[in-house]
Amino acid sequence: MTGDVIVSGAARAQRVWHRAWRILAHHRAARVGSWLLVPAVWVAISAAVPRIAGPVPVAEAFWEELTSGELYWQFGISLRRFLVGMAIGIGLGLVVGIALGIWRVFDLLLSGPAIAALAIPSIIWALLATMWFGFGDTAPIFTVAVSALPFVGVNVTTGIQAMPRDLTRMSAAFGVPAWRRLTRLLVPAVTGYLFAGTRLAMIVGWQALLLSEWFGAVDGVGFRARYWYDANRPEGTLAWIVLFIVFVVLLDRVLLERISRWVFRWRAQESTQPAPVQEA
Amino acid sequence: MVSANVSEASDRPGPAEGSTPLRGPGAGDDPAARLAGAPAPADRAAGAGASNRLLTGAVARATGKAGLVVGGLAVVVASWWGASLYVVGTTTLPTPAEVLEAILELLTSGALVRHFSASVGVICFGFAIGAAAGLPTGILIGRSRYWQILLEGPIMVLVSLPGLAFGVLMLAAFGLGPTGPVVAAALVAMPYVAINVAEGIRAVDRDLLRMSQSYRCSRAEIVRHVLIPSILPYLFASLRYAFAQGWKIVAIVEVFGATAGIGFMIRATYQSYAVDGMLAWTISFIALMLFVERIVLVQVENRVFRWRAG
Repeated sequence: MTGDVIVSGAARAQRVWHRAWRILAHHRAARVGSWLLVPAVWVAISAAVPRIAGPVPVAEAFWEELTSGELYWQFGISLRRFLVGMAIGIGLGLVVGIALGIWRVFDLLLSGPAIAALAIPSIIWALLATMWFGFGDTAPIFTVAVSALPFVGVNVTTGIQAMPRDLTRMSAAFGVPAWRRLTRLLVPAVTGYLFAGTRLAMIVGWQALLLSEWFGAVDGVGFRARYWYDANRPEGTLAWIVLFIVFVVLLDRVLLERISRWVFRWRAQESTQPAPVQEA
Repeated sequence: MVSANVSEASDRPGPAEGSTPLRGPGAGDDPAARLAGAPAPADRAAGAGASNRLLTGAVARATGKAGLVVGGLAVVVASWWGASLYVVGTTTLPTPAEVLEAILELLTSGALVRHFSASVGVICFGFAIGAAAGLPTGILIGRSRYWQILLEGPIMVLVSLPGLAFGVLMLAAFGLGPTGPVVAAALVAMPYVAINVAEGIRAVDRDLLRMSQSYRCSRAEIVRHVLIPSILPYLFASLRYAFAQGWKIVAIVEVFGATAGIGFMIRATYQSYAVDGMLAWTISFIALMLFVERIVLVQVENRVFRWRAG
């Protein structure tokens, strides 16, 4: 009698274990685990390192920023700087990239400075800009623009140089008008590279903006993160850092990915854009 | 410079940037991918025939090219000089001569060598740790779809971590000292190594693997002669990217909390408001970084892959 119960209990335990294993080994469990792993590691780190706050105080600090309105206010300031800086960087990068791509003389003339420009870390631009322009809007906008420019420029140049020679020669031989050549040949060849370069430039520019605001601004998200840090409340800084990461992931993986798919929907393949050139 | 990179893409494994899918050159009908793999149209004349006239033409063209590159740098330096003397003033922008003087001073005082070697040591040590963690992770991701899905989120977060976050978190966790920069370098290297090794595992020639199994090769032999040679190029790609990215992150972490290193010196010049010192460190930073990336790493790579050319 009792033996029977034990056997059925063991069988049941085995069945439960099997089922649990089947669920855990499923890809969907991995997907869920993927999102649980980051908070879990965070909790573990915050338990081990007292200076790094756990998710709960960080959520409280986030709530404080949200209800006081600081969140919208500071994000608005930083977004404006980001967009202005990116517009300048992309505009100049496009001009420089086209010049370098079309005239080989410019390419050779500026190859040295371009390599150097790509190698300069944004922390140096941020500190230099603070020394030059002081605290205000100019330093962050400058930092974003100069950090973004070389990435856009190099990718546009690559796109133009990768234009099929046969097509350029053929269109010259058949006397295709310049406007048609521009819209049918140059633009489709460059768009992919421009987009890939811009995407990279946006991530670099955003990170440069944060550094610049940390060191040389009296408002904006980077400054706000520093404000909490200087007030000896690292949970507030961490709340902002989480926001920065979320912003980058949303910008890159959601917004830009969607736009890229939409822009390149005429391409049959799923692969939508060339891998960006990161170094000259 | 750019065209060289394009052709380079065809014989090197594509380094994975984030989780962007890796595309081989000429794969499929994607015109952009086909273009990216096309050989660079320039530099064609160099190898054509040994005719004397052709050779002198090539030499003239090469010197012309070098002249243009040098000329470009000269134009930049000249406009810098003009701007500092006549537009913004030498306190805002010191002249190139003053900056050169500052660099020479850094060289003779030994500060350049000391702090640069401190940073290089940090990056190398960090890469070693990152590679040690990234290698098994990459093998797991490359072999099993389950692990790929599971580790996708954490790797994405790690790759998206801004430099500012590295600086603040390392300072908070490790205080002043070399530990923070080393951990940061390791955390930068880890995802690059993992993603590229996974890519390398997926690219292992299945036929070769099956053949060596049917010839009863031992496991060790397969690892030694099939797996390692096919993963190694991918590991090198990750090394180059980890270095390029690691430099910048280590500089930031050192600005925040280090007691030595390039970033530490950048902070010191910033705090004493020495623009000439800042520019001197910037130029040395660029020069030394390009030296390591273009000369040292390329040499090492050529040596490791010598067997390929023969």
